[in-house]
Amino acid sequence: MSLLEGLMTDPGPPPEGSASNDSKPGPLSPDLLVTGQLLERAKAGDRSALEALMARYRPRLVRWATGRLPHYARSLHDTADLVQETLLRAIEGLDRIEESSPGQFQAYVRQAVLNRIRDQVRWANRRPADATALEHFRDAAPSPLERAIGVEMVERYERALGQLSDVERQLIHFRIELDFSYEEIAAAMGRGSQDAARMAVQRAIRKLAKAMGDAR
Amino acid sequence: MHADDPLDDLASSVSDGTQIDWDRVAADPEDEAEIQGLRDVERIAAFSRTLQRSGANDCAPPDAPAVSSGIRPQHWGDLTLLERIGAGSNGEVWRAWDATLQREVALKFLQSRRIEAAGTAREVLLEEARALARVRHRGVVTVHGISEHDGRPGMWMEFLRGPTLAEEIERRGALPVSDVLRIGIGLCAALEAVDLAGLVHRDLKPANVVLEPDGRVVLTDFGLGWRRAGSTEQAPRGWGTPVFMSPEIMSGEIPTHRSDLYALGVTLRWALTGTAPFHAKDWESLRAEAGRGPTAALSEERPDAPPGLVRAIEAAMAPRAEDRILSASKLASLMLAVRGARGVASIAVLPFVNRSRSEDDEYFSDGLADEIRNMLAKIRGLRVAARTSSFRFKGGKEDLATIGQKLNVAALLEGTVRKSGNNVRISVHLLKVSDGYHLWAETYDRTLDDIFAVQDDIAQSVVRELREKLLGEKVDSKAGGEVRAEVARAAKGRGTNPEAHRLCLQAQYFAARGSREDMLKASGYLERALELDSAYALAWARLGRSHMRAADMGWVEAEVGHKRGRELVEHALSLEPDLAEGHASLGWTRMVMDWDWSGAEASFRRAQELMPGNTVVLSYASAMASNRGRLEEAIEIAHRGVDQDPLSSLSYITLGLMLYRAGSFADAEKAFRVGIELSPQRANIRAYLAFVLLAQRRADEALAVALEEPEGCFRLEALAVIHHVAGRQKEADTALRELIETMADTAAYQIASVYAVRHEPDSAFEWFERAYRLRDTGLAEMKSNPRLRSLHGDPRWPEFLEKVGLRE
Repeated sequence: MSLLEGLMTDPGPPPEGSASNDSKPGPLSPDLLVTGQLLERAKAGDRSALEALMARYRPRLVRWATGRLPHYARSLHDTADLVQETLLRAIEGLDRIEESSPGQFQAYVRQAVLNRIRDQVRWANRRPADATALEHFRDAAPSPLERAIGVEMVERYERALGQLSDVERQLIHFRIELDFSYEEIAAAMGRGSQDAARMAVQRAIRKLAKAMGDAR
Repeated sequence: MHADDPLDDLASSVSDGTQIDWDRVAADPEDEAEIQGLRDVERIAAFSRTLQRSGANDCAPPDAPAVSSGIRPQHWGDLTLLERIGAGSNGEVWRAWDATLQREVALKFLQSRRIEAAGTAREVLLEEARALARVRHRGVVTVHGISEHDGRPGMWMEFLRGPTLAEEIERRGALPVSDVLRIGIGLCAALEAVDLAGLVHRDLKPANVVLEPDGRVVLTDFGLGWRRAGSTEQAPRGWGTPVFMSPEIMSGEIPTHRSDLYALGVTLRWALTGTAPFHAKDWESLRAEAGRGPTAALSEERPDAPPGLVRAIEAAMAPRAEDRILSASKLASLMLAVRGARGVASIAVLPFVNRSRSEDDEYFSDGLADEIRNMLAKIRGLRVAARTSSFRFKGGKEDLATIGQKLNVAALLEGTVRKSGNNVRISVHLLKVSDGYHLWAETYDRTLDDIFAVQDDIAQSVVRELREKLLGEKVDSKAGGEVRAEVARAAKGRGTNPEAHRLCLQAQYFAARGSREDMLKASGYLERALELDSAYALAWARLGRSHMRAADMGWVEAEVGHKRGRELVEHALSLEPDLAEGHASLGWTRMVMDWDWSGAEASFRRAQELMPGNTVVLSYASAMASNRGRLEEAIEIAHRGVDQDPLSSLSYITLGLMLYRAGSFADAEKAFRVGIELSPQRANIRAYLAFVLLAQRRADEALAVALEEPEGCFRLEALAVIHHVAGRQKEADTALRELIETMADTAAYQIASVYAVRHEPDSAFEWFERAYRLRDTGLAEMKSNPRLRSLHGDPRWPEFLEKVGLRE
């Protein structure tokens, strides 16, 4: 049946006094977590776990990636597709990620997406200059994040991240880049309470800040 | 690191997005580097948070403001700060919750450091903010109050939900001329109100213009630029946005309403071209460039722009203030003239009031208004609000100005009908919305045999009056003859028998109600009408359409219903080749049934020519573009539909669907919610909304919405998908089983979709084959259905696309 069927006539407004079905969105449900358990099931070949994992993690990753991809290098679907493909490949390669704690999985995906973005930018730069409007962007060519804080600071940030431990990097990725709540982080890291997550994030931020400040 | 290390607190604040007053941070010299680093991290965090939350839930439930977990709620007076939504050198804006009035507001802090730097007393600034609070205009953000708490002066105002013009340009590139005119005219009115209040905006730019979903264009200010006109203070550098600054301000002169007009000119030019007019990288070269004016001529950058609009923008952007256009109202009149000269006058035909003794005659008063509306919609230069939008005002509780504004039209036609036996008395009034002035009125006392003549006379008079009084055209005897000819063309296909016409009105009345029983009744009336007048092309087309609709709804076998419908529509077109309704229906069956893509596009093109701006036709054309994978075009057409018909749920649903397919889930959600609000009982919307929520990982909400979906096929599909994604396999299986057991013949496409989401490609393709055998109309949209993505890598996918003609 066509999704658009029923569109030919418009029943119009409800009769007076009929109940409105206006349901307002509520806060995010805490059970929608990227859990270690889910990853375990996914590794064991559980398709539905994979799907859930994707559904939970992907939208945030896509939004994060839009901040990293220069405007000219992306079409309407590029970012979502790029993330989707990278995630799929990462999941296919789950067995190869040695100690796949959920955090490591995401740290791996983050790097994989960044690599794909670099490829994409290189590819976009090789494209024949057919659209003249693109030239203007290409000169400046910063990603939205670079536009917001400057190329230099983005580079310093990535270098500083490199000086952090895996776990610290994951914490920064979750909290600073993906806007996870402490509750979600505690669950995603597969251990600890919210307070423990908060403390761990705080320490990771200080270490990152120190590394960034020293490099100024 | 000891327990109460102040840097720990700072790190926590950075992590939670709590505001930090960096100037007050007492810096131990050896912590200097780390504090600098924390400031860096804060900026990255703020950027990411904005990015992450841009697509997130933006509606707080009334009793539980959505404070992201981990943040200690901060208060300012009675307001609870929820989220920082904007921050710049000039201040900060927060989304806040007003617990007293139970509403969300935007709170702007008037930054005290800036006040001191500018040498302005806080009291003066507060007073200026109060002046702004007195500006009451639809085009200016509404200020609720001004106060000072904890040493922080601030003002709170309405929370706007629409995108900014800057975002809209970023997303769509150069905007259509009609949008630029609408935005420009709206902003002129806003600037006029600002000027009348004795204020100057000083930072007008696309980022400070919000486009609300209801078509409102709102001037806001997140940059703290408002100042009393005549304030002797110069604009300090860094205050305002250089590219929008007039050359005289860059030279240090005092901002006036004319510098606002300059900024408006730059803003509109930007919207029209999609790019900045100046490219200089530093202050001095920008000043020189702005002094010379843009190098590229606007008429070359945007050759399709009407010369009048180009002239208006150039008059606003004149580098020397004395050469610039004098006032916002003058600029508005230039743009209004362009819009008029583009030959578009807008009108809504309100449902006529039934004054007959019998309520059963309501079909006649409704139908008559409908017939006149359909005729007007086919006439050059008229934009006619669609039936649903107009019928929203049935019963007449709202005043005409409100109706005109909501429907975004310049004129309204209203009327009363008293029918008694074969006699009928029809009174009509044509009103101008802006001043309520009667443009024309007439009363007809006739018999039903004269009904066609009355309809034609009303249509001709309306067209003549609108052209003369709204568009300023002269309607002499030659032009009058043209009007008669145009109305005659618009009436094509109507038939000649008054009783058949009456039966057709009755059919329309039931068809619009949409249920299966109503549809059968409608078909019965049409068949009786055709017995009386077998040359009634429109009735043949409508009968054909109802057969197709029965097929689309699964009430009859798809192939059978479409085949019969197609024969009837083709017969109608053989009687009347210029019948817009016929071409639209033929296009529909070519698209969903024949998969004859180029044939369908040709039909829709023809229908659009004959009935420009018709919401249903635009909706078809949008679906067509998306089905063939041209999503950006589909979204553009859908936006046009919303502009044309701002109160039609159909327009919003089409837009929502296209945005969903393009992956813009947050925007799609907004569109669907408007659609539901406009038409709560309509089928299918809740299922789409559920998919959009699910895509935003809000499975619980998705489930709640899906359960309310009235149409079984779509409800079961949504439930099967949501439960599956949420990991509730038993429930997912149950929903899928019910779908298969009850609707294997009408929902084969939906069943295949569910299998695709479950990553069971073999079953998915099996059901696709079945859908193919049954000519399931859903297959037309398989290429753009995001839920089928898992199949895209399968070798059977391109083969199947080939079968339905979509492998392009």
